[in-house]
Amino acid sequence: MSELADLSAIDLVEAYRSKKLSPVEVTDAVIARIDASEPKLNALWAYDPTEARKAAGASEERWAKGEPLGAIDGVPVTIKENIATKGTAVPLGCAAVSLTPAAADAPPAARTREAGGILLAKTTMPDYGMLSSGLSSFHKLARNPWDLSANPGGSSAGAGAAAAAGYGPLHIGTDIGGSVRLPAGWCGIVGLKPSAGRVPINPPFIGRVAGPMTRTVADTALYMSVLSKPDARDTMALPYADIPWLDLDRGVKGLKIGLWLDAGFGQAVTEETERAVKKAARLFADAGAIIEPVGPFLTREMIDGLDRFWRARGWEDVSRLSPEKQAQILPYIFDWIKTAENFSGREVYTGFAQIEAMRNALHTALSGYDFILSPTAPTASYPAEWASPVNDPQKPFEHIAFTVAVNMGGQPAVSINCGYTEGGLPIGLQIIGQQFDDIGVLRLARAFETMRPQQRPWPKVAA
Amino acid sequence: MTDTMRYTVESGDLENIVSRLLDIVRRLGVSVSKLAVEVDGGKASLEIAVAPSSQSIANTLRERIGQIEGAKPA
Repeated sequence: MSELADLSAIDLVEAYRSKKLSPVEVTDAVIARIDASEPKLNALWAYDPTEARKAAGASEERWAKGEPLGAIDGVPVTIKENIATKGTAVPLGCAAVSLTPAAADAPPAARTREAGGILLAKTTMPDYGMLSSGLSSFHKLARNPWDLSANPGGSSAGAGAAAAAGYGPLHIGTDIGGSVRLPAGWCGIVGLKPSAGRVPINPPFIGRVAGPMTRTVADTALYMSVLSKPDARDTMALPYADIPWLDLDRGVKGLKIGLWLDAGFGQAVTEETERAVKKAARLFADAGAIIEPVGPFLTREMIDGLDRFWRARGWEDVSRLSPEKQAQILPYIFDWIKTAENFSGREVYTGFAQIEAMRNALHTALSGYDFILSPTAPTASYPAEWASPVNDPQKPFEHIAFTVAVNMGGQPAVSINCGYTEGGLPIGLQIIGQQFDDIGVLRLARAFETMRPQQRPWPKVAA
Repeated sequence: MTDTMRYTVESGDLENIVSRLLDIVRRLGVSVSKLAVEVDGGKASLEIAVAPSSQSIANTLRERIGQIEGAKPA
């Protein structure tokens, strides 16, 4: 039997139901794993083992009475620190942010607690969530469990590292340009960017979503059954839909799938990433799917425009801070957004307009296909100390070409591991679905999970 | 359509640059009708005539060639 800390949420719930395991022993095992690994990994913030044990005890009593609170009662969970939990500050990865305890749980945290999830800790992120890196002015440097000199990616950096290291089975991140899928790809886990509005969040914003980060597709689906429940605080949420999240096993025969290997801008895809993604596509073809190449459809103008809009948005917040506070922000982030100081209204508006251009380009590319496959990122992970794979604040988004358009388009997309580099780092395959077809991308990911070669053992990080 | 692209490259490793150029063209599935290279000391002038299937392929080709170290549009 696997170590308790490595068991999936699906297996844990079944073991609680059949009284083979108790939430207390599982929580203790996960706490022991964290205590052994965290000094090197730095994935967590506001880690509270005492509260977690207390919550596990309460869950144990509920299971003993046969009255679990919900679908994940007694399952250890971490939550990205920018998702508010009542009584805990929300530093947003930035030393300049005041540490004021949150007044209430944000929707994903509220759903997690209502369903009985055991909150172990919050997970780390870079300043304002605007880096695909574990680098932060507030948190210690988060590292990748597959190779401690490598970056876990981000901005859901701690969540990616925690999932790969076995800090329990369920983790949640947020994603506005790839922040769930990129660390999922670089840490070898499953990360779902749901359709825009599928998982209620607060505050909502264009392109921003929250999604599960887990080791298996079924655990992501299970967590979606909890997180997708309605919350009136999200003014951009979709109407609630009763989706059969755990009905995952479907064939792929006859599906028409596009294979997208050059986004059109940004870093070129490395040969080993391209090889791994093509190999994944061949597995789908062998199972009866129709695979067709999709040419590049994004442009330099699109990402440069979105970059201008994001810089302007960041500067609007940061320009209000005192010079002392500004000096506390990660220099890379400050240097990036300060360039917006003298942007004209036209520069910002034409930047904003690229969101629509990107959305239209992806909708057009997807028409005629059930799904599109692509690399999650053009390259595998990069040095832990870097802010991005290019590490240049004036070229901040060269690595998000395959992921960002999906945020602007609103479609669901999942990252799942499809291979390893020569050095043993994971390579992510992105599956993009039609708008609102969240269950479709999970079914295709589940099909891939059953077809792909056996995965390497999960990394063990010992202090 | 035929699109002619001209670049100057300052590099001592011309062989690697031509190899990368051909790799880019192959990956994008573009047919090449002309490839000319003129070497002058440590500097080379490249001219490549291609038939991209769409404007977005042509844009991507420019993006990718521009990423070759030392390559600048002539």
